[in-house]
Amino acid sequence: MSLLQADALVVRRGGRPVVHGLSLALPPGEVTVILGPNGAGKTSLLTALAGLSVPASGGVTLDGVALAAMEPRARARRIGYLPQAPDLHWGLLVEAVVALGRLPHRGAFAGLAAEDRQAIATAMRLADVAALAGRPANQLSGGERARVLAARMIAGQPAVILADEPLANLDPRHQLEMLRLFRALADRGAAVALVLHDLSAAARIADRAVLMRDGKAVRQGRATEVLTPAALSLLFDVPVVRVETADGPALLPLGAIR
Amino acid sequence: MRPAALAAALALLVALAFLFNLSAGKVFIPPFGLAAGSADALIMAELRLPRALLALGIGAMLGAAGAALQGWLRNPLADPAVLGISASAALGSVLAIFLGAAATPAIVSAAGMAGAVVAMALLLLLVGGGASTTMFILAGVILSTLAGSLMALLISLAPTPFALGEIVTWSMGALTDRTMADAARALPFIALGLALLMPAARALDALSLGEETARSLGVRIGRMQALIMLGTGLGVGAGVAVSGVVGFVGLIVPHLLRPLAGEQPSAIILPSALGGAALLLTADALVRLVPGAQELKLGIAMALIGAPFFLLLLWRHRGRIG
Repeated sequence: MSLLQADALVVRRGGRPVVHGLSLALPPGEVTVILGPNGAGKTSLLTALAGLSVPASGGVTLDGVALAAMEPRARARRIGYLPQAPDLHWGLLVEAVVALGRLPHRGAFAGLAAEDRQAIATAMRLADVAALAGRPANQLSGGERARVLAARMIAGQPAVILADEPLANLDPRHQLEMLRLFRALADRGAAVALVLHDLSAAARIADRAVLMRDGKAVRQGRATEVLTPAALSLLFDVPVVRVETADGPALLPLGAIR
Repeated sequence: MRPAALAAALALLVALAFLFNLSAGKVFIPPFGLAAGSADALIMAELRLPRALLALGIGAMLGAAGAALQGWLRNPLADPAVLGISASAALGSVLAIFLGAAATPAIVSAAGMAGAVVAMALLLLLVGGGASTTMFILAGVILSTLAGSLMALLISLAPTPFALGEIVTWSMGALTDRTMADAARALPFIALGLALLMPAARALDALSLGEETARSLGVRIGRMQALIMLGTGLGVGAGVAVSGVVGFVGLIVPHLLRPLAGEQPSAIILPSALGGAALLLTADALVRLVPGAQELKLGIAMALIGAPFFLLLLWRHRGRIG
């Protein structure tokens, strides 16, 4: 079982600490949601967890092995990272984009093995992009594009999944499908961490939650205990109302406009 | 088109262009069945064969380098000449000649490669700073201009006016009267340059999703950049030291092949090498057929085709490049 763990993590950007002594663990099979106002250091935390930035102090370990000591391809086989609004240059076909997810599993000049093709087909089915396979990815709508890039990550079959605002630019229907996708991946045993801004989405998918402010985890633990209207109201400095629905709790940030 | 079918078709084209290059000229000589020791056989072995081999190698290198640079910079206008790499290689070679190495062609070649590698290193510094497409083209223009002026300065400082004329002729880019010895000092480094570019292809595919995603896929960006820097620098530099500056091959060929090969950077490098070879072999044969007392310079012919092509691309990409 994979366990990604950050221990007293400090990340500096331009000399300024953007993550400030943060510790957390991402257990397998659970969805951990990271919430916080803009500039709280969520993206910096995620890139450090992905092993893409070098911490100023502290460290990140995967099953007890420091990420910094892992060979990049070995790390890439275990940790999938979905950045916010990634680039998409050239008119790569959708299936070619998804196939890139298999890169860390392939030899330098090796073609796609049966195992690779299987993983790509499964990822495309899970992300519902099989129908788009032969289309140039840079000509898709925002929602289709987000699903294709998610499929790219899933195709690598990572044990740890890190996604930065995966619901941004998606309509409500595609937001729901994206949440279902991450839930399904966690149910298959992946450790999932999502940076989200939608409080209701967070409350409905999270097993665990981390509330971040100024590079620190101000609260973390079981989602049911952490994601309270009072704590979120304090975190974001807006009134938050909780409404019970048949599909789970809805947390609404409110406040008078005039 | 299937990659294997495209490669086979292009390889056939290269073979035909090679035979055309061998036979075409002020006198037409069939490439097969020449009597040993005849004048025709001598022209074939001493003049035409080295020239065809150089056109093959240099064309392949320029095509592949253009495709790799475009993938690396995610910029459809990248090309060794446009980015000033070829001009920097020429400057390196001229500097070596100026310092008295004219009698030692190996040093002239090495200096050409050093010039190209230095230009690549400058580009690498710019990429590290996250430069935009416009900035690269401007940097290339400035680099070309600077290298050109420094070259002119060196030529005007040269003690012997005789060397001057030679250098000016060479820098315009041509394969006229090159020998087997010229081919022997360029082709091994061109082969090495091509071999260095090939392992970078997959990383370039990943880079089309941005540097962060590429790194999350286990790509070592530094290693990839080193391969492209050395591959392009050595191959283009070794070619320029022998042929002078021949531009636009790396710009034209990948663009013509993308509709056939797909836009994936790794899918375009090998076809661009073959297409570049076919293009340069054909162009070098055609300049010999143009009537006139003096042969049209290959570098000038390519610029005459390439510069309008560049403008056309600029026009097509207007609004999308900034």
